[in-house]
Amino acid sequence: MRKRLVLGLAVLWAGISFLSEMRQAATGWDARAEWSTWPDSWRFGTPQVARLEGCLLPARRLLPPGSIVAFAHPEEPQGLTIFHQRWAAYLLPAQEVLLREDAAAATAAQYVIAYDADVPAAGLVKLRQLPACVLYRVSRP
Amino acid sequence: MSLWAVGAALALFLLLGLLGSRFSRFLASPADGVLYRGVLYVLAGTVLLHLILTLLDFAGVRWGLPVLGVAALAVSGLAAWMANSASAPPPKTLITPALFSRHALTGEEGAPTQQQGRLGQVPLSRGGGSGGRERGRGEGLGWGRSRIGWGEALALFALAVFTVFALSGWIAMPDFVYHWGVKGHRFYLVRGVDYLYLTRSWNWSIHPDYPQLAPELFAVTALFAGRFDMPAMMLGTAVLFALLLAAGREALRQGGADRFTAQAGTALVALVVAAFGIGNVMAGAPDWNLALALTAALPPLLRPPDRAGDLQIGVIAAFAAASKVEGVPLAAFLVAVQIGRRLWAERRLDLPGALAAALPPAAVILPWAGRALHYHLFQELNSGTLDLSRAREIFAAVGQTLQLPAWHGFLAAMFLAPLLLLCRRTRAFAAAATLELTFYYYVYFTTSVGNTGYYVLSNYARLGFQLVPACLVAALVAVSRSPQKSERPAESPPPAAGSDDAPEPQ
Repeated sequence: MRKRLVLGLAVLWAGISFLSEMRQAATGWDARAEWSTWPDSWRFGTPQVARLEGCLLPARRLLPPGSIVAFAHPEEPQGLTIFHQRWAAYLLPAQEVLLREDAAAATAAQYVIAYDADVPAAGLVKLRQLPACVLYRVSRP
Repeated sequence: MSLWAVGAALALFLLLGLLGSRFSRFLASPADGVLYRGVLYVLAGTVLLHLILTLLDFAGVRWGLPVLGVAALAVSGLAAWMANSASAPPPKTLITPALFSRHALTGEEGAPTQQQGRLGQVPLSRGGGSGGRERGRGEGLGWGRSRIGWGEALALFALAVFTVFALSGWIAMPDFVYHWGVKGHRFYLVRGVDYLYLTRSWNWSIHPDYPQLAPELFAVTALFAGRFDMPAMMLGTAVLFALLLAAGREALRQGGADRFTAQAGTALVALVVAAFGIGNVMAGAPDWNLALALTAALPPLLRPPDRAGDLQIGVIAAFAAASKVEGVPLAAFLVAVQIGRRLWAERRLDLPGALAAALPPAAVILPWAGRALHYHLFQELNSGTLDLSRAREIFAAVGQTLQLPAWHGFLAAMFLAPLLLLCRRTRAFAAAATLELTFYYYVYFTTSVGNTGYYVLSNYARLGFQLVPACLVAALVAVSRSPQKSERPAESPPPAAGSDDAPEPQ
């Protein structure tokens, strides 16, 4: 009997926990238009991701598969820059995306996407103004 | 969300189950219920798919539906040939469910021994041909055809809610975006594992050295769907959740839990897993694979060791090893425990049984390790020297993680693993789970990641998720008491080692 009581209480607590998480998730989903976080907490359906998609989905069509793209983005708190790059890489699966400040970008990048960011124009040829970003081709002598 | 893509994802898992079922003669134990057989078949089919994809990669053949279809047909033909030509021995079942028992069944096939009769065990058909209807309990249909109980109804509700959130993408795990999903999409586009992509210096963060089963499943789902569709990928997690519930339910049944414990246990596991899966945004995470693997390993580990159990453990271990890097040690622990039980019980090495347990994971691990070494994919942060001075930092972070709101206190269930060593019938499972738990801490004490506290905080809750469902189920099995223990007549023969843990009739 005592075992049943303990087990029943555990199920009850698990049920309350489940309902609590379900409610929080539903509330978050309903309010996703106001979702405002750093890139490490972005989710599908949030305005931040939609805005990045607005830039990168048109860029997909302009970038050859396999091309190496340096992604320049606005200043983030230290440690969060990589999350911007990872979202960009997810949205450009046929290309290779690295951070503009990555040492390899100077020699390997063939394109640059400046997302809400200014980049020095030297060595870059502007290809297209896209929503929230500019696509450049790297011009090397 | 594309209904076609989601349907394609579902079809993929059905086909994997169909492929795995070709080996039912070797894989299914007569003690296994229908749902659990389905779990085993899907796991076996998934492992076979992984091996096929690995072979195609080695041969330089691009992945595609025609070549996968031909390979699946070839595997099915191989299975049929094996079933026809092999003089497969009848499934060996030991009389007592006690673990590490020295008893072995030596009588004629299907001839119940004295203790079989006492436990009401029915003669078992060869090769599991009973279709899961015989439970070895004298109950015939067992739970397989009973009406859905309250606990199962709650579990289905939790699964349905989780599935809806998963399909929306709202609870997609960040790592799905950061590496699992992007690797899957990339492999789909290049029709193979893209090792050049994995070796790029800037891709260190996508864990290029990890086993590739999860991205492969995403890629093949995309092949079926005709495109990479995020909700279709999320559906895979819901399928893994369903399989986990089926495996847990079976473990409770084979572990002899009474009906209330079984219903409550099924509900408990489902609600805890769903709450954490939603609260900690876990859709698309391969941690589900390991949680499923450990839960699916419970029935063969609760039973006395037998030949079907050897292969079951082998397939489950292979699935774990192909899924995630910490699945590799888990595979080793599962196989070692199974072989160790055999040695202990029979006082000799059963070579075919040992091979059945060890070969599937070896077939997964060796090509993976070979490729990772060849392409220099292993990362320095994976290894380091033992540094015990981190203990304070590690345990502080563990304490913090135990209070994670999404776990609602249930993460502590992972520490049941060592306690379950005290119970004879859960000892084999507990040995594997405790070793895996110890391995997590070994990594924390040896990793070369600079900020150990942050490292623990970043993954401990997820690592615990791999252990918690199986530990909860095993704990319920451990506390289940058989009425036969108290009702055993005085003139009964002395119990075999641990036979007081016999399952009670349902």
